[in-house]
Amino acid sequence: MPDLNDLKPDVFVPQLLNVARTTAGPLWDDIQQTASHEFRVLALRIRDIGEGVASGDVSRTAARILFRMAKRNLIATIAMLTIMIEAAAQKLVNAVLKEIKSIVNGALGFTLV
Amino acid sequence: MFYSLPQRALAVLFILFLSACSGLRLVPAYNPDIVDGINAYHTEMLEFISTMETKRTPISGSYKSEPVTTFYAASDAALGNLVVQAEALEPNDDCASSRVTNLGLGLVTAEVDAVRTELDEALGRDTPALTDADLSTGSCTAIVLKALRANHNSMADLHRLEGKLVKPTSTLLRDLMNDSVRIALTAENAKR
Repeated sequence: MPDLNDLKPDVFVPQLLNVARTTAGPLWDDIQQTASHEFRVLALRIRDIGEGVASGDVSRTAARILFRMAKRNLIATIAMLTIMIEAAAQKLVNAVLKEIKSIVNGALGFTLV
Repeated sequence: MFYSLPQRALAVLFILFLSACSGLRLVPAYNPDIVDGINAYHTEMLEFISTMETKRTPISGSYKSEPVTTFYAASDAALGNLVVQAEALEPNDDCASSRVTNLGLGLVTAEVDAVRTELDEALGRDTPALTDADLSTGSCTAIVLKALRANHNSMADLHRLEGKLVKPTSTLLRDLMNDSVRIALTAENAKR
């Protein structure tokens, strides 16, 4: 027997928001932690290169090569974060859509979506 | 043509329902071959650097020795294959964030040529090495892998410049290469 009460906005929307919150929360925390870690590591690498040059252990030409590698890692980090954000958005949208499907089909008593 | 709010809402709902059937895809599927390739490279690279650090004679650890040149060439080929795999999965994709970062850092400006010329002179070579990969075009996955490959080639440049690969330069190199590998693995694992 269909129960259309489940399709009322005050029932339907909080359920979707709950799914969105529980899905997005851990993903966003992961992105924040990864970004923070990678930028801290990058700063350490640049400091290490600088210290190597200052102590005379690393030549200036070698330092330029190493610094360019660090710059590439920065570009790669931005690309990696973009992938993480897009993947998180994909998981969030799909989790909400799955919930819509479940609520609608459950309320109607047959597979509509 | 203008549509009323209910019509637009209906269209959005329809798209949502269609999406609910198939699932939305913003990033390509996780590719275990890319992860395996990165892991295989990482193991070989760490072993190579450790070996080089212990070979202090002019011949054994020299850039010109056969095992060394073989390692650089074989690893470059393997990483090049990973880049092509990523490009094949998303041939028309554009990683806008990397393009903007790249422009911001000035990597696609005259600075590249200036550094390359300096390196070419220092290394006494006639043709530029493959260290200036284009990190402003392609999918985000391709850019992450191109950065890893370019850093591998920079390692070869540095080895050639120094003759041998010993501490403390090798420690800095190992750290930067580990970072490149970790970034590439994190990017691929995020798609799981």
